[in-house]
Amino acid sequence: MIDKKKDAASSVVERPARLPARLSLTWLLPLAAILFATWVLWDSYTDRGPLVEITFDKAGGVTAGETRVRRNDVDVGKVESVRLADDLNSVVVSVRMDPQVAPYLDQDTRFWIVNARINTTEISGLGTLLSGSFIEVDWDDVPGDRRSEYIGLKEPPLTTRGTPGLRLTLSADEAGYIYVGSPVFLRQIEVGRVERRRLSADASKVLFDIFIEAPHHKNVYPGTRFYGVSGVEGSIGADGASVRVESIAALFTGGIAFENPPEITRTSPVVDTGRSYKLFGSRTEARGSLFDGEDDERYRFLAEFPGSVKGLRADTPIEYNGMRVGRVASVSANLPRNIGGEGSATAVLQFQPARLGLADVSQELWYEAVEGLVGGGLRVQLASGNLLTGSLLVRMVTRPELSAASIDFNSEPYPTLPVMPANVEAVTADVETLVKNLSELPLDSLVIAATGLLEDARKLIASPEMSTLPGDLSSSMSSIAASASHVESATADLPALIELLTRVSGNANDVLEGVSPDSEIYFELSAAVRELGVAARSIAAFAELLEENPNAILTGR
Amino acid sequence: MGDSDWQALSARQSGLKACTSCGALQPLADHEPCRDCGAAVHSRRTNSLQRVWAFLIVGVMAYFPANIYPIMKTRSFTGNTTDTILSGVVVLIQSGSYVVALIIFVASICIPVLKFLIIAGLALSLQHDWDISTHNRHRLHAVTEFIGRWSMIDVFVVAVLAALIQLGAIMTIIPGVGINAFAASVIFTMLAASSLDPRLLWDHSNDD
Repeated sequence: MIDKKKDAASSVVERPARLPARLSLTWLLPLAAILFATWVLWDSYTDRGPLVEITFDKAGGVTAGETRVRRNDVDVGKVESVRLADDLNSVVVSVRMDPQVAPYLDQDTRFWIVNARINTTEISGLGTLLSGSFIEVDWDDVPGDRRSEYIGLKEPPLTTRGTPGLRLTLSADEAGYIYVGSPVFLRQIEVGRVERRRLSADASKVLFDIFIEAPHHKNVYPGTRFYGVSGVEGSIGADGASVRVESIAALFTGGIAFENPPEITRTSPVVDTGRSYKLFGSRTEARGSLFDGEDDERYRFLAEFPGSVKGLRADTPIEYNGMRVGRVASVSANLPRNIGGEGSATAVLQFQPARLGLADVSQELWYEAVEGLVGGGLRVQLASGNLLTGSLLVRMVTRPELSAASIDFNSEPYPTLPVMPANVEAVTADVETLVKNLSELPLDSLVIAATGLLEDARKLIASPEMSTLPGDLSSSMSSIAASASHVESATADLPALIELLTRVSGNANDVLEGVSPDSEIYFELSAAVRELGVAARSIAAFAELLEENPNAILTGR
Repeated sequence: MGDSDWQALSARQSGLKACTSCGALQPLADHEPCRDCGAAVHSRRTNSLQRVWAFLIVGVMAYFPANIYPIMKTRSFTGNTTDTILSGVVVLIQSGSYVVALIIFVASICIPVLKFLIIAGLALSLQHDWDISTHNRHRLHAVTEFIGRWSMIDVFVVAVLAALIQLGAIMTIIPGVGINAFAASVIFTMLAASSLDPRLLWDHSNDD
């Protein structure tokens, strides 16, 4: 070893040549690193989604760089900054959305902050107590024009855009106990909820936007009737009392229920969203209005009634063969056409063709049908509905013998039906005669006589003889009391008498036992003994009564 | 070579090459493996400086994301916090743990930067024949070898925390992207340091 080393050392004198300048493979590493870094940079740049600005009232736990935007619990964006808006009254949250959701950021997109909510109607978002709040986003599945500025919702929407179902609008006169989030029932099964409660533009109605979940929305027909269920519905009728509660939840929050009359299930279900319905106050009311088209202007006619229409007002029923087929929508008075003539009143008649078996009929067909009826002698006539209240009803009568009449299609705003003069007026005239006769009764003289009588009575009472009367009365009362005490002493002898009677009847029995049962005397004696027994019992009862109530001898009971 | 008068003679200058495994010498021209242990014997590792530079560049590159991205995500019921190396140091200073802050700062910021500078300096001095004594070069090389391992302290801290603190909703620590980059940076720096063939330090010092 040592030799060799020395040899080697001596053998090399000059500096060794430089190592060959080959390129090391290690250079691939920084190259790869550069490529990787470039890719990361490029990827994160191109992968940057759109930046949207959402305006909220309050930031509500939203933190820049941390708070996520989620859709169905999946992160689809991240808050980049939170700042006050220029007006310093709201908060602008800038959110970087994921690029793959960018196409859906259109006008249908909604953002809201999810916090823990605990109130009377809901407890939700408790998870955010631990995880921190997040922003929820909702959009429909139709890509649209990009928007970058949104107004955040104050309240989370109850149903997301993508939920299958049907949105409807109900109109009611009053809001009642129905709130946002109130349930919608079908046969007491919850199938949807109220999403929005608002006033109509002219504040004449309350509008409820409701959502009915699939597959229950297939049970909504054009003739479906919606009614409010506010807690308990009770009724007392000829068949007893009944109480109906749609659900315990609805007992507190109110709700909406709907049902379908049997005949309308033959029609096809509603598919178009946003259809309007009337919201009835109660189930009874909803059932009472058996057919829709209550406000359908296609089925309106005018009728001009001459003379007085006192008692005719809106909602007066229209009857056909005793069946209700519509109502009077409104009544207006007309001035007489010529001076000295009789005035008249024009009533708008709202028919419900469904009640005549013409469900959802077109206007042309409806007019055709009515025209046919009128050709057959149909007229409208005012009839007396209630003699006491003087209310009227509109009756459709058929008088084939009458001369032909036709519908006046030229009148505005609705065609006018021919009118038959009413016998109401005759009735009214009779009533008037009656009233006149009543008024002609000699009431005045009667009143005078009665007054005189009363005055005499007053004089009598005021006379001095009357003032001594109470004293006399009290003395006679005391004498009555004295006689009562006599009676009481008399009754003390009664038990002895009873005993005697009992003994007598006992002796009589002994006698009877010796008499042949077939003899007449036996029969009469036995009858006498029975009567004696009865008499003894009666006296005993009498004695008991007197003992209990000595006044009985005076009062008779 | 000024301060001492003994003249060191490198194996290469003697026309020999030493086996790095067993130390056995054999002639430079001999291309056989080591006779004693069978390992491949090179007088100087080929492309040593190229490898140093390549590894060093990767290490420096990885150092940037290591400091920019969070090294640790703490998810607890009070909220999520993410910490980069520097923000962690700042938090420690704010909470008064100056000593811990100093250790982390030195181990994670000072030492890696120092290593980059030393390795780059050594490599440059070899390429450009800077006038640095062999002794100092060796001292610097020894320092990089010694302090290099301490840089991993951060990685171990995060690894231990992430492994131990998994309490579900109460508190969970998740390693961030930054710690991977940091580990990569430390590893590549160590590779760079070890790629530097110490025998090169001899060659250039003898040029004068």
